[in-house]
Amino acid sequence: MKMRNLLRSTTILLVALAAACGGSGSGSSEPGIEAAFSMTNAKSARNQAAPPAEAGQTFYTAEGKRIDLENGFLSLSIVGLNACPSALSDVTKVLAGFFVGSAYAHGSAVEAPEGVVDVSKSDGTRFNLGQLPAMPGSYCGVELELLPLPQDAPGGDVGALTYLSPCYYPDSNTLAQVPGAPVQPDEVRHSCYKISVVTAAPVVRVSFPSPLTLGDGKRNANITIKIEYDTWFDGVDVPALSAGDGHARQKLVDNIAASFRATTS
Amino acid sequence: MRFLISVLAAVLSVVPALGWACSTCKCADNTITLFGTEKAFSGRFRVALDHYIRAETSGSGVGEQTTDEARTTLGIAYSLNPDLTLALLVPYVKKELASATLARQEASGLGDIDLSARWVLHRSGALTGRHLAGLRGGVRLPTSDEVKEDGVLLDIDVQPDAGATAPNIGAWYSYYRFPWFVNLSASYYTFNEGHQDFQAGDAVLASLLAQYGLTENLAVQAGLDLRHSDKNEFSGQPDADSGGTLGMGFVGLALRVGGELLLNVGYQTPVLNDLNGEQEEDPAFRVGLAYDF
Repeated sequence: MKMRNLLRSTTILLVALAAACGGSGSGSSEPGIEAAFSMTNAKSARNQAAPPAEAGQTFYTAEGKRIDLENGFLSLSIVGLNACPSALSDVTKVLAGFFVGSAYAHGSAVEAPEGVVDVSKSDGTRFNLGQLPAMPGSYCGVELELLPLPQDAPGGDVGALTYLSPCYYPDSNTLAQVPGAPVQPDEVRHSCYKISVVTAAPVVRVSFPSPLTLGDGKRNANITIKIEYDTWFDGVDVPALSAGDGHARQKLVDNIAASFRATTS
Repeated sequence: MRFLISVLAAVLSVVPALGWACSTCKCADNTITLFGTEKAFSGRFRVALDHYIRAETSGSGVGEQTTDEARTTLGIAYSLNPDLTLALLVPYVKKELASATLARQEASGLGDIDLSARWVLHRSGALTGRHLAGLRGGVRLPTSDEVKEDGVLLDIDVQPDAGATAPNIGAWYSYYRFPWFVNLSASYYTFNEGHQDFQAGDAVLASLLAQYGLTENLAVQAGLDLRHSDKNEFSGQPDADSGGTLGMGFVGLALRVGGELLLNVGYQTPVLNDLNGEQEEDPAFRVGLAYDF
């Protein structure tokens, strides 16, 4: 009987000890694959020699028309990485929309709200877009979604995809493109606009120069998305765009979607 | 923790001194009964050790994660009289969480301790009863460790347990007629908020076990365990890949060694999967022993 009681007592004490061990848990962790995204603004090759602007950015369209861009707001998010192989032609899904434009004078630039990218900032400005986890595999591109600007953004239009403040020089075929060339009076004639583009948010696929392989050997990647904003007005009739012309709007949205370049490291 | 030790000390103080005796003789029934299904008699004191291995996968794509769990539970049951048995279950849990992104987390520690009582409200049949039925109730205590690494809490899914108080109540019925034994039980668990703003969904558990004794020392078992639970919530937001109904079929063997030691081994596999969202339960394996002092 004494032996049985001893066993019972010992058992209960062991259980008590086991319970008392609470607080002594242990653990470890190992991070997974993650891609960090950032965005930067830059002119394309054809505008590398464009003169600096007093404010914002000065560049020339493919037709040689000068644009002084005082604001160019975009809000975008990373949808995900596109696994290889896949059809990586840039696509946009533009549904329907309308335009709101009005004329303004030079020097009316405003600050971008938080979370909104202003491509008129100095070239090379870096905007952090966050991180996304990823599965092992080879990726050939990234999918972006252009989001409606916040309602407190300039223009104040619900669902605006972008807000632009361009000054357009319709007669600027040679203006400042030929060093030392005399400037003709007509060439400095310009009009400035504030334009909110209200349309459905397009999804854009941007290809990498070469496949990005992620796995045990490479768990972290940095993906930089460059916006060549100086291509946005190529082939766009800016006065018509401001007046709400559908063709000009579609051309602008197509240009924006095609202006992204992605690099990986 | 001091409270628990005090409770255990109190239990220890009320365990009466008994002479050596055959536990099955005391209840006049040769049925092999696993922990929690034994017939009560005054002073019956049973200790069990159970090891349970399971795995589940939830989520999809980049959010898919697999949890491997090994749970070792030390149990003590003490019968105050033929109608009331108190039990204490102390789990030690080891979990490994593997993500589709190759991220891994591992944690081990004390789980949530269960205290329960089992009442016999109906007894009929010869001697100590052929048909027994009653109620059971208890509470799961928020005793589990919150495991950290370098001061940072690991994911709630890899923590040993939810760290939540969970009162529970249920009913049971058992049929004892050697070589047959059947046990049917159902319980309802309601969970309070646990660690990391995690709120486990309330659950109904039902279990049916049928056993046939090939000999007085060896029995084969088959059963069905059902669980239906609400969705879990994180900071008030429901987890789409949680909750639902799961049925696990069970086959096993129980072996009596000597007069008092019981060994059991069992295999469970999903037979009904109506879980919410993306969830998949893998087959589970159980091995255990119980000893009557």
